[in-house]
Amino acid sequence: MYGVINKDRAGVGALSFDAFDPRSVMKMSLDVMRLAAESLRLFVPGPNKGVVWQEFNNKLQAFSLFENADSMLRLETGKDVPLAKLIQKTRILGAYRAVWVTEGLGHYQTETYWARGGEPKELLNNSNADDLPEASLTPLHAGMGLSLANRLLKTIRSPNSPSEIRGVLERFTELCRHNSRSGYLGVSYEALGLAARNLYPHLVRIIDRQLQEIDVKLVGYFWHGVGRAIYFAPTNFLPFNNSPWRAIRMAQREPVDEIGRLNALAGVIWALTLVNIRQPEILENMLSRHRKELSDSDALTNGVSSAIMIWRDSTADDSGLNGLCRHQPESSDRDLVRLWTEQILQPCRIAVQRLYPVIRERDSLGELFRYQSLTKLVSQLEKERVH
Amino acid sequence: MKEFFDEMVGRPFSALSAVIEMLSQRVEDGPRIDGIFSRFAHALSKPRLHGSADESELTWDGAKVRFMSDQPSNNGRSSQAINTGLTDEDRLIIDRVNGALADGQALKLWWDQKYPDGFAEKFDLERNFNRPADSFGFFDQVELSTGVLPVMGNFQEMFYDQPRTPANLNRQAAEWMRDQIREFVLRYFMRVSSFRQPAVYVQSGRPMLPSYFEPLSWCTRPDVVRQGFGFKQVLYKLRDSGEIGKFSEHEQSAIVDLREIGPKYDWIVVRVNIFDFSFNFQPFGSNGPDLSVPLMEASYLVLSRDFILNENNPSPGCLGRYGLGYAFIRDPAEGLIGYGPGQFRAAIEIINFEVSEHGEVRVAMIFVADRPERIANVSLNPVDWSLRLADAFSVGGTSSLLAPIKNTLERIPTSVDSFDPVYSFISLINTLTANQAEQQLCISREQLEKDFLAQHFKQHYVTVVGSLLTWRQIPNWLDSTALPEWVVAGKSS
Repeated sequence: MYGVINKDRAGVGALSFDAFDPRSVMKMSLDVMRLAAESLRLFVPGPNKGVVWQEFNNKLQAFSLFENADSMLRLETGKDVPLAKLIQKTRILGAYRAVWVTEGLGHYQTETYWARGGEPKELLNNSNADDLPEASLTPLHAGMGLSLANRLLKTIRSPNSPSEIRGVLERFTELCRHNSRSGYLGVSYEALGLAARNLYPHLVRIIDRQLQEIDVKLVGYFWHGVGRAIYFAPTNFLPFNNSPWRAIRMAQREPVDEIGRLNALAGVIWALTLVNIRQPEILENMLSRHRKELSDSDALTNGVSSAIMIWRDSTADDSGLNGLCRHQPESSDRDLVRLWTEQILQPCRIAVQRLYPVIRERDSLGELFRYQSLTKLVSQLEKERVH
Repeated sequence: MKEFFDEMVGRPFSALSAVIEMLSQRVEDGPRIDGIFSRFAHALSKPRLHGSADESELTWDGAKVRFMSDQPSNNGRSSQAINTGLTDEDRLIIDRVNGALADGQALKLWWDQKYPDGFAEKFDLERNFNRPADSFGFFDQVELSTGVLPVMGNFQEMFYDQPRTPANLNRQAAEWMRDQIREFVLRYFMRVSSFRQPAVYVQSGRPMLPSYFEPLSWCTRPDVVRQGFGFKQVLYKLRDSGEIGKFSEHEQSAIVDLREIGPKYDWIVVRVNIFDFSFNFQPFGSNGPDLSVPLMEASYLVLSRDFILNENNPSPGCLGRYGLGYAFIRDPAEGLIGYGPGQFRAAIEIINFEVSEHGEVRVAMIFVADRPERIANVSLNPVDWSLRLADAFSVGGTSSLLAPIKNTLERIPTSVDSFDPVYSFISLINTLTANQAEQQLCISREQLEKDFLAQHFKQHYVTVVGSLLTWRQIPNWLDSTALPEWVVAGKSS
């Protein structure tokens, strides 16, 4: 078991305190919970119970992989290993786990930079990062954005002081610009919403107001991140009390305006799709429960399409993608089948075949981290290419 | 060893602290629960980083910003060029400016809404005999961004000056007086608000005595008694460029023209020495021993446009209103004194002059501050005491040995790490006497607070009266070329 026998440090058989430190205990707890969820998934009777426990298990796994990226790759504290080499090591984990571990690495690397020298500079946009695989860039930026957001939000002393909040937000955007690659800026921006909603929920409203004044475009990224946070929110974690499906209602209730609602909803769907991409029946279950709310706008289509394109970009493995894009509900509910076809299957195919190549070529993946008409985006990018 | 303590003790306490902080935030229950669990899970799960990583993790207590002092987090300083030459202390102060200003603005807004009769408890503070002056004190609560803050304060208004001219020249004299007061208040008042009391002449040329003879000497010694406020401007933020910088040594006494705050400066930070200001505690009555706590430590203040008053002909019967005000910045370090300038959680002072149509000048002073939670801080940290004791016995030998433990334990936030002997005494004596001590002997927190306000009143009264002599000795404040050097340079004491 992790850390019980620390062979590297103290010789074979030496018992290490690592086994009992809070971090290890936390990780073990997550592992035990996953084991329990897996057992319940298999044995608890009732319609869709298995789906709910599977979703819980997936979410736990994504969280654990992100937080424990260093132990997954057996990183030694204080030892410098080139990031490209670490990314290479993630390949042995398989496509699904590699994505979350890579996001965790982005976070870990940025935190290390803070700890050693202060504000990160040119973390992912300098020539040293040129040898990083393109597939790793989105999760790395997402992890970096989380660290930047958390570090800066933590410094806020007066949560109702507009000038202080504005200063921090401007600093955040500045750091994102200085550390992100062209085309990935939106990925870093979006992490602000996730950090704010789950670690500093009292700041969400005032951040929204300040972003409206700084740059309206940032508001979309922010609420998309909030939506992602709502999906991962602890109150939606345990599969009781209609969770996780009530995340949809929370995403509609928490934002103050329509732009916020559409982005938050797209963010929830985005996260749900990525976390559960290997089990399309989870998405199907969510659609069957919230078909009315979700058919009112194209936030569902946007969330699913964006998630699929990010998955396509971040992994070489297409099996998860194919599974989702070919999935057909085994249901006699015609309305559900129609909805699935119109809002999931067709957009999925369009995203992979038509939208993604243009967005990739025009280096605009960051645009997928906020709600917008993807076809308009692609038309715009194509026009720019022509000119 | 250090790593062991960081992981086994520091990390859980850090998680607990993050949770406790979340509990105090104003947010709906659902997001609050999410915040609590997310913080807890993240604090327990986050990677172990090499170096001083977790020092920065614990910087939520603003007093422990070692990491930030090396590389300022730019809290509220976005897009601003930071002038070089700033010390660590300057950076700590800058990090607190926005918070102090936000609280100060909230207190000022609250005051404007409550004055004159909206206070929860209003009481007389001082009596003035044959002087046209008025004052009152108050207790109330203010809702700040950080929560509800119990506050106290006082208002005092007094006559300042008037023209002595024939009746037919009244209007002209009044307007002259208005122009003079405007220049004096907005440009020179902060430069000349400290002054020395007359001191006994000391004969020069007396031979220096060895130090052991000094106590036996009957010779007059130089004795400087200062009163009022000694302001020095330290830091500024330029409005247009957002640059934050530091005033040079020779600029520090000549406080900028307050009319420049707004157009040129976003804010300036001044350091004030409040002379002759102490807090007296007499546990055994007025004839018993007296514990006099001098509250003369320097304090930092921030002035922004919100606190500057510059109104010509604002209303019928009034030729002008001019004034200044500031918010207090809490000192980054906690000292023995737990309350007073430098230790206020939030406080403002406003000094406004008003010139009537007859040229009469009156000055009003407003003070609002948090009610003290404690008067003194005596460490109750057994670890601190033990380590100091061990260090003393080992002639400093344990310091290096136990440094990792000490570092870890110092970073653990504890709610009971010091106690206040003054308030403890009050609680104890009232418990033992079934509150008779409060009812009959006025041994209560409220009494101490009123004493503090009375002291504050007197101190400001003396300052304003002292400034009157300076004001009257200059024939024309608008003729800057004729002003004495000590006025221009702000070296009044």
